[in-house]
Amino acid sequence: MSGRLFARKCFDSMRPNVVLFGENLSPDNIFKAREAAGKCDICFVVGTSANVYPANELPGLAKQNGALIVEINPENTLVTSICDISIRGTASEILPRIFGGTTGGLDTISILCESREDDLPEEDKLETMDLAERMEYLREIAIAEPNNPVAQYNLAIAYAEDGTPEEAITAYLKAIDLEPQYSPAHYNLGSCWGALPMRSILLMPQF
Amino acid sequence: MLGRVTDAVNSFNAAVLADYEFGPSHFMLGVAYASLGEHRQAIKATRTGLEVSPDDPMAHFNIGKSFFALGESEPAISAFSKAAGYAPDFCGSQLLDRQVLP
Repeated sequence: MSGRLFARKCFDSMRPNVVLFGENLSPDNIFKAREAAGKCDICFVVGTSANVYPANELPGLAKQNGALIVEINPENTLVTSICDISIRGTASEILPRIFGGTTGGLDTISILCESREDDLPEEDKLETMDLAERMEYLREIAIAEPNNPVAQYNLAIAYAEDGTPEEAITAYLKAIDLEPQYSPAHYNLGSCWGALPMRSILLMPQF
Repeated sequence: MLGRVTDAVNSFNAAVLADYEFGPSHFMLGVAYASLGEHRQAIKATRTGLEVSPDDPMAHFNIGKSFFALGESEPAISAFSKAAGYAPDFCGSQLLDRQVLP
């Protein structure tokens, strides 16, 4: 498309119905998104670094409510660890293969996953592990790098996911001992201590 | 070990000190204070969070609940109205279902 589009009635510039940098999200849309995340069976996380709140809390909310989380992005993101399926590629490359073909859907997703697993870098292999394997892997890293707060933090998240918050608390405390200003660790630790309603728990493994 | 809400308050306070601009830390600090029945502190923390994340309907709703718990119906209604203004499609019962406060 070249040039700007103008509205017929007011002759002002037309713009797409998206949130541009510097604009506020509509509170109503945020609420609707949270509501949908709480009800959906499958949640696609497409083309986002998952760095920005409140959108980055939606996959975690959907996960808490039992949804299958499918991530489509060229790289690991802050929500990769909670995704059931991570497909490395761009939206324009992957989405048509899932939704555009005659053999699309979940079958295509599994084919895409299988075809990519062998080529995954070390970080992405973590995403192919089940929880028990991931915990063992993260434990080994935490032992090998005892002064790395991120290793403790990631292990804590895995413990929390495993339903062992006491172990998670211990790991978060180690992370904070190593890095006292580790804000996400303090935040997640607070949620573990209080067994409070998980309003917007951060699940942010870091690499 | 769980249910140690005082420790949760300390953790969320530390999260706020480490990253003041992250609104959810303030909001969760408010939720923790409310769990302890310290509704004045809950309101204060949540309002501070609204300074950095002003459009959060659940934060306004939590403030309303704390005022309601304190028996102050007028500011409670005002806060609930703000929550409804930010999220007109959702009524209080739906918000309550989300267990925003224990």
